[in-house]
Amino acid sequence: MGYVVCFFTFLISFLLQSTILKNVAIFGITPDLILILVVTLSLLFHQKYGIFYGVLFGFIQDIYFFQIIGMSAMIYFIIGLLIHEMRKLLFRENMFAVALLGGGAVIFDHFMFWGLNVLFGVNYGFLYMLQKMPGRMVYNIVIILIVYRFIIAKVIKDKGDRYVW
Amino acid sequence: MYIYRWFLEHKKLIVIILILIIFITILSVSYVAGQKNGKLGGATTRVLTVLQEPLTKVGNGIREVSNVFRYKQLLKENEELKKEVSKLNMQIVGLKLEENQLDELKGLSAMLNYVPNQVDYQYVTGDVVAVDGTNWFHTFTINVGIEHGIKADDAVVTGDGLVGRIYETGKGWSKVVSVIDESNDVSFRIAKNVQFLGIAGGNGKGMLEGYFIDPEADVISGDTLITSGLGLYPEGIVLGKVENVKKDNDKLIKAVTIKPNVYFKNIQRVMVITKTE
Repeated sequence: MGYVVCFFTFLISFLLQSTILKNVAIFGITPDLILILVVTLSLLFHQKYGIFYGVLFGFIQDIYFFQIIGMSAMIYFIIGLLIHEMRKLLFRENMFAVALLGGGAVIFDHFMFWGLNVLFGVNYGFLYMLQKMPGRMVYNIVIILIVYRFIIAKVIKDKGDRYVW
Repeated sequence: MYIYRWFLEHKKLIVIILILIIFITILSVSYVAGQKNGKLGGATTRVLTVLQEPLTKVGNGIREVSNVFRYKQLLKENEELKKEVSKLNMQIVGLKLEENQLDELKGLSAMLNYVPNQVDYQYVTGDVVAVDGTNWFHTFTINVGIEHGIKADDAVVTGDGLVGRIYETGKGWSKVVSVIDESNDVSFRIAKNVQFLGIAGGNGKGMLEGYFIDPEADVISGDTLITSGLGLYPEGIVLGKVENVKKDNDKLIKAVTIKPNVYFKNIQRVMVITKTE
């Protein structure tokens, strides 16, 4: 998986998220595909795909949807960086560990985004954010596990390959 | 020398701190500069809008196909709509009578040389091409822009009521921020009794919260509220229904929680109301 393939994966995810995905929303919730890619790619690869494209598409997301630029980019950067550091400590084929990390990323994302918004004067209820979090967490973890298994199946052609990435 | 060695030993940490400083600077500049993204932001939005438009159409197509499997629900909705149509037809008869009275009053005001405060509006319809998929806010992009005369702060509505306002526009695109995502005040009145004025804004919980200037305002749960025409939004747009009324004796106000009429999760087409110069 190179930088070009990653770019198009992120681009397609961004386009799907802002267009078609609302039609498959469960209770009005859609998965955050950019966050999912940041988590899975930072965990799977020693290259910094997740961090680099997380920042790039975080900025695009900010420009496109938010009134203050840099929030998503900074959050994806920190999440990508933390997970990239943790990959050395984890047994990456343990799906429970991946789910736990995915859940942690969603919680971190929510608290950071809420905190930054409040800091910049945006009115967003803390309890309202907490209410929304569990549903989003479950949905995102499920997609993270699916994407993770899919990438492993695509990348590992031979049993010995698992030690390359 | 020690400092130099320390820097060499902590290169990674220094790079991370520098990147975080850059992020904080960008955030602060963006906050101070307001909602303008500049030429690069505008160009990015334009390119992405072109790519998103066909995808949104495909998504809407999928939804339409899936409606085939909901025919029982659609039949029920159809019956309800037929009842609604007959009810509205009755209302039209009543309104025709009132129209005649209005004509008479207009004739009278002309005789008295009354000069009304008249503002002309132009209406532009646009399709939603992209929605904020992060679930945080209800911002979205539509496929009409400055070439249609749209400006920042123009009101955006659907058949159900007030959606929000335009916060940025460019060639072929405009970004809309919903009324529940902003604490900006919307001036409103009660539809059944237009003499009571109030002010509301998003409460950060997906609803609106506001208060009536007159604590004795005659309002109950379920009352429909409309925009008053003071401030950004033109007069008479349905804002929502009163969910909860609370009288605050200390502040001498009557606080209300308002449930918006518009279902923000699934807006496909909107109308922009622009003031003509």
